[in-house]
Amino acid sequence: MDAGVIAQDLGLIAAVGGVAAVDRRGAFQVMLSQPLVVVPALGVLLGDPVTALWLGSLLQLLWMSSVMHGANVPPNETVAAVAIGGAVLLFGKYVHPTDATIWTVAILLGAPLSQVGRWLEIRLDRANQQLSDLADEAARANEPAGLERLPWLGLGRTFVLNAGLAVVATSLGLGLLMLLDPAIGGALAVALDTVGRYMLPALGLAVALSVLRRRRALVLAGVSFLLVMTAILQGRT
Amino acid sequence: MTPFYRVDNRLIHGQIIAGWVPHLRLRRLVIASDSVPDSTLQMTMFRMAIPEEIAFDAMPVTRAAAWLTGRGYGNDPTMVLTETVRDAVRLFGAGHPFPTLNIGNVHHEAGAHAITNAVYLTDADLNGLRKLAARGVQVEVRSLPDEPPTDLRPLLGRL
Amino acid sequence: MANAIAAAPEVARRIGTGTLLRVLWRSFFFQSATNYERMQNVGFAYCMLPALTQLYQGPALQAAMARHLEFFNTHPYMADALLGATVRLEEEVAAGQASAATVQSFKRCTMGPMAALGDSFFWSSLKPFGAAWAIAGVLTGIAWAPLAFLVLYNMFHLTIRIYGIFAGYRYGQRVVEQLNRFELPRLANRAHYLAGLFLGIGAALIADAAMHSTAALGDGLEPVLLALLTGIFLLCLKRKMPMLVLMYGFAGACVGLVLGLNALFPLIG
Repeated sequence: MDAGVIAQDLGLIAAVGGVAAVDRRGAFQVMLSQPLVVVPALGVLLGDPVTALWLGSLLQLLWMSSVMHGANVPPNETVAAVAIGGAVLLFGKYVHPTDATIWTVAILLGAPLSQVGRWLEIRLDRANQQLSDLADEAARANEPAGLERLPWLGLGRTFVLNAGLAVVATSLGLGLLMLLDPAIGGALAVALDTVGRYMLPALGLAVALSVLRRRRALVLAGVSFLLVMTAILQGRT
Repeated sequence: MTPFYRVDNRLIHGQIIAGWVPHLRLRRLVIASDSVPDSTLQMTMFRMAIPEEIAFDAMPVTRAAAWLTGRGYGNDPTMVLTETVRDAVRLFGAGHPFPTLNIGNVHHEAGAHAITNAVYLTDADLNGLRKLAARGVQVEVRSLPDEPPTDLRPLLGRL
Repeated sequence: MANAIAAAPEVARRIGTGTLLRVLWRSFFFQSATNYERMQNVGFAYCMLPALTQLYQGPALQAAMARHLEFFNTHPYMADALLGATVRLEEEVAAGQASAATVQSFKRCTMGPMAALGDSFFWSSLKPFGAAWAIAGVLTGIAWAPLAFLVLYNMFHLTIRIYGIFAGYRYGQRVVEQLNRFELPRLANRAHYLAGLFLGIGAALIADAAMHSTAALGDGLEPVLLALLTGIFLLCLKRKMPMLVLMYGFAGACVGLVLGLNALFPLIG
């Protein structure tokens, strides 16, 4: 392992984590923050888009219900997705190619980061109180320029803290994966493979279905499942 | 079915339509406010934002009290919204005692105490809520159905 | 009061397309200083400044800045229509045709319903539909599906923003009626049905992939097991069990079961 190359990769992860966090709450909101987008983006940057596509899809399903309404802050799936994706991709690049067992361990390790990310988001919104107060001062002093720099302060803080969190969480995740990797084998590998290929996708599908407001949409999901499944099984025989 | 009573300074917004309507399977939203029924702009906007199959009424507070007591909503699962704690207290005082009150969003004003990130209450609000609590109303603070509710009663004693 | 949606009195239009474009660009940073006391107040004032500095000077500018630093909270994409309309209203205020209170009351009574429209269309309907569609694409091997998701989603997003700012300025308070024509609630319903459709397809593709794996469950029953498990999870989620609790509970049970069974009847290495 070349420390310089790894540092460069961590830098990329930091940048992606920071940009995704800014897009999530602060500016643009073009959905770069969605796991389905941010993890494949990491995959392209770190050289394994195939793994990243599957992982991003799974994480997207698991956190599909995470929606921002007003002052309510939901679990932050962006932070979790960047760290889980980053750790898995670095592991695949520097240790050995990954499979469903490693992805499962990474998801189980990284999922609580959605709560850490939520906590950070709330802290940042609280810290922005200062910006609101500074805006009042700028208005009192009749200085538009004083107000105009405030959004950049808010975005800058969000970027720096989330980039930092992405690096720390990814490095920690990579270390834990390397520590646990030798223990994965035999029956444990089969169990983790089952969790990764059945349980987590089923849980993700359930979360996504729970978002649907119409009962008829659920019926439609059932029907399309049966039709496509039948077609696949027919095609095989 | 007893309606769900809520104070929300933004009245009907995303938390109501995407959060509470499916959670409580609501069929009717009622706004008790003296200004909303007269505002064509607001009435147009609310009707626009509320899904077609949900009934929507807005009426002045005193009329709402009589209408609710007369069960004007029939069998519909209903949410009753007021813009301020003051209006909720007025609704109660106008002869419509309700058993529970949810405080969803009350935005900041000078001198208000921060209860949660979304709820800021002035001393007048707190006094009003104390009166309601003394009459047996269960007051909770919660913006969305899946948040843990903050029971306000211990806080009412302290502040 | 901004109660009556009357025909806008014809106040001369002083704000040009260039200024509106600057407001539009700034609206992408609408939430960059979100805070709990007054939410998007700084964002709103920041977006309004290009127009305000053109309309006011001295103490009038000071007052205008202060009134746009009041509490404000709506959906970030829907904000553009309100910003456009507010620019038009400010123009009328500057011409002495409307009072500052009109502006404040317009903002206060439109932010909630606009948030309802935006939240339920963009966050709760278009995003799940777009994601479900793209995930079904990824599972059929289409590598650019996430890119297609971004394009589809942002077509709607950018349309509502760009239309909003110009229609808002053109129609003033009547922009509300104009937005009504988009029938966002109806589109939201359709998006839910389509999301269901694509999630079903996605589930079938996941089951198919699982049939090729070494997973301990299965022997041709993979689709049944996946559907059953999804149903159980859905019921648990509807009962308000947190996703993380389900994840750790079931993962722990699954690993325990496989390891336990293997200890009793050693089949795997």
